[in-house]
Amino acid sequence: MFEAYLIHLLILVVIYIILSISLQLSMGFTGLFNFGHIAFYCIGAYVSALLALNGYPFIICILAAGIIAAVFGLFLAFPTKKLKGDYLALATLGFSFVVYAVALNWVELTRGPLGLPGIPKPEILGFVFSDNLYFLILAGVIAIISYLVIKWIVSSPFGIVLESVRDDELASKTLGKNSFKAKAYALALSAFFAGIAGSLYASYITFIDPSSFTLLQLIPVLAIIIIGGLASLEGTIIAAIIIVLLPEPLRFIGFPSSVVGPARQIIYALLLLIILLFRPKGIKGKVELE
Amino acid sequence: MKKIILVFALVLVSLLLFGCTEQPKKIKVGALLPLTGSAASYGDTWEKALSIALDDFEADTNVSAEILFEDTQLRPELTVSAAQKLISLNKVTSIITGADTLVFLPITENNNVLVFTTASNPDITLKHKYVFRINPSDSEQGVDMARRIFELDFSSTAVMAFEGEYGRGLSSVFINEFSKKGKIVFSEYFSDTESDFRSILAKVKNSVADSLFVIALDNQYPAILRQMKEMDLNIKVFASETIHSDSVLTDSNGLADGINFFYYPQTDSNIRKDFETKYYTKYNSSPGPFADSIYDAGLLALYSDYFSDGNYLKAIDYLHSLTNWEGASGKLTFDSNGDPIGKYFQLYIISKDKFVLGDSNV
Repeated sequence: MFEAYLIHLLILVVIYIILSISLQLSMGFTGLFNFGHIAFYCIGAYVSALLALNGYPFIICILAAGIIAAVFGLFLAFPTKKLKGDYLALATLGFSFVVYAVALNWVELTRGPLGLPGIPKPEILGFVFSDNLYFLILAGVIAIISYLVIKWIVSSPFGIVLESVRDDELASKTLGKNSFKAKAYALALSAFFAGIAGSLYASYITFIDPSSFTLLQLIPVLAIIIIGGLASLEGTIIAAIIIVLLPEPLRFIGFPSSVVGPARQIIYALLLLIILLFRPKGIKGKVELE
Repeated sequence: MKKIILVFALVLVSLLLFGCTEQPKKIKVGALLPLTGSAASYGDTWEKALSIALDDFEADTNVSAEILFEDTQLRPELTVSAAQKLISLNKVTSIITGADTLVFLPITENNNVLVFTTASNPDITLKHKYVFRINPSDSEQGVDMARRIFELDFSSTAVMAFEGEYGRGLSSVFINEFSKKGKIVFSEYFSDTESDFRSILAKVKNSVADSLFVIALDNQYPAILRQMKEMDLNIKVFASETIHSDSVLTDSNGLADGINFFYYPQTDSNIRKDFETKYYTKYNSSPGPFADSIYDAGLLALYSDYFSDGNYLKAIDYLHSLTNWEGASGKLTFDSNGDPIGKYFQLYIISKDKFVLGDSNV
């Protein structure tokens, strides 16, 4: 029975890995302070859940989740075209609030705070991934594909353009690179994988409501990419494992349950502080957090 | 770096192994409660009520039992992780909860674990197996409330409710029913952490509503009432059951007097008196909202395990065999869905800082 709990935790780790490495693409590799990532995750989850509840096959659901999230990512790139740093962070944060408000108030579509229950488990070619071990394998395969695609993107000439935009946008423009196009694509690709993660989350938990996509959910994801190190996919994977698993032993130490919740937040904060003080580039980061 | 990862792995594995140590067999029941976060005031009183239920069960049966508490913060992913941990590692036979029930029901269903809840979403028992609800669902509450308010000659009402499964669910049933005969002037929603209600109250003041139906968390009512007084807003207020909390009376300094609300009939049985006395003796305060229902849920979870020797099918048979089982929240009989039969809501009034059955002063 212990395996069931471990498998559950590993599924969460895998979902967080996809969510975090996709944020690395826009934040770590392109230098965009993208606080709207949780909104793409939310869009992916809702798109996938609504399609699945209407009988669409899982493959369609997950692809649609990614594509529609990517469209929103591209859409977000236009109004934020001239924004940088803190201003971009605020604008993308605003986008998160808008998406949250829509999920909460468009009751006819999302059922608002009542949430969408009974989301079917993934089914591919007649095989239903109802067993958590099989779901872990499926999620793991999707995570590996996501990692390889993102790795390929950042290693390609396009990836080098992204890094040049991050390090010196003016110089990049001087060399004839279209920095807006690069940033817009990075945001869309990042949103695509966040949507995929959202789809996996919805089909695993089988219930979503807007409270699953608040800023509180963004905190561990940001902690993962800062601790893992900006522009490092491997560091992000290590950090995702640490951040998701580290608070779990707190449940067994014997603290009162009312202490465990806040302790979880304290752990994130402490880890972040330690990393920022003693290892500003994170575990395997290439860029220092400015 | 390798050292950091090694130390982390060692700490994690040793703590998880510690958690898995074989322990003597005893009855184990889980409780998923919002012990921190916006609904922590409910979680606190529910934890205390369950602790009394455990004491009573152990004293009655001489059997050692344990209730394992997990904090959900009303966050779905934490609730799911906690439920998974309770079932997989602690091997609980049932889970008690008062909120966020829908999110973990697929896990309990798959693992044949019973759930005892005070949550009121109709889907909980309609769409899931092995769930036993202590209080009536929103579909009954909302309809009863709407009909009763209309009977009292209030024909146009404004509705303000907090965003959440409970607030949205109850308000939508209420609005549907009230609209059949009366008029809903408007409905507004606010966050469960909101403390400034002036804009909604200003809208009420400028409307033609002859009554206001409020669904808020217990810690929000005093702020709503204070702000109504500041704005000189005099309108008949009806409230949901969540106002039934001593903290509302204490913090609103008499402003709650005259408010009507809906609550299930309070029995004057010895079991209830005994529960209230024990609660007061142990914690030096009165039981909070739904603490009596959670106490009943705790007892039912423990006794169903005790009489069935942990077999879920026998436990279900035992629960369905109960007729007018006397608990602190009233008499309980479950229908085939696990909903309570014959437990209905009545109109109460707050009078001189007390909750009084009846609709006088309306």
